[in-house]
Amino acid sequence: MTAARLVRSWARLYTRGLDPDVRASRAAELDSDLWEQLSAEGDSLRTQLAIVSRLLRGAADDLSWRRERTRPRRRPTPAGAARALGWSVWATALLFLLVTHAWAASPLVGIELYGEDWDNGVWVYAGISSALLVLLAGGLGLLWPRPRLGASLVAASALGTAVAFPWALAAYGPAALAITAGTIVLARRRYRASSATS
Amino acid sequence: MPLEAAILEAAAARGEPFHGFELAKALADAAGSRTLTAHGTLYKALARLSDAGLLDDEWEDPETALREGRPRRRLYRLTGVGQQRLADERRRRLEAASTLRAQPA
Repeated sequence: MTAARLVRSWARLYTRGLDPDVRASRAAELDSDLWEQLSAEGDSLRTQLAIVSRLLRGAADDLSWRRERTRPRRRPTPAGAARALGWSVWATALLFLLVTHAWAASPLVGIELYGEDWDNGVWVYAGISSALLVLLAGGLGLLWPRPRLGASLVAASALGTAVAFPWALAAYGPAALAITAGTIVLARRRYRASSATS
Repeated sequence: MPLEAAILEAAAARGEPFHGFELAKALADAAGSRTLTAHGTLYKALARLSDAGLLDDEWEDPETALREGRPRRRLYRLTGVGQQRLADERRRRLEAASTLRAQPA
């Protein structure tokens, strides 16, 4: 088999299943290239080896070119960007709540992360935060097997946080709303999926 | 220099439509090498540049190829957008070079 036939066979292989026009176009372009090279450099062993070398060195790029042609092209849409932003806000708010509750609850496990500043009522805050943290973690854990119950617990924890710490309403209020909204969306999706499969 | 930038440079230097093998030769000559760019690498880069609108491509008239007894060539040419991108790339390289020169050793 000559080097040119090897290149053509390889091209038939990696263009298999692509759009016929794309396939024919690549084959014709390679035919032209091979003809030009053989005509310019002569049909010697050296040229044959050079052609095989070009084939081998470019094989990975051939495959990645094929992947680019076969992958469905997804263009970012405003709706998609808004959804991505929404989920980022949800995840950030959730993380914020988890971290602040863990921080406030820390004295209960013998670690006082915030020092002496909150001496008055530190145990009250720690207790409330622990309860809300347990509610939140439990709700997240139940979101998959029991979406309604899980979402209710998460929402209760998030909204409860805003009510329990009114002096931090500016931070907890929007976080609670974002968490509740996002969790309801997630639970509805999960509920529909489980209803469809049962 | 990335291959795409080298292709744009070669296209600008040529000033007229070129085909794949011709480009591979020009790139090798510019690099002072005998090794031609691999088929896959070359045609993938050309496809990307065409998709991005930096190169325009068209198949030559079959009559011409028939008359010269060879397969048809796919001819590429630099577009206005490609020229602009090349100018930007050159400016960027110049700025990078002058920044390097300005730094004390």
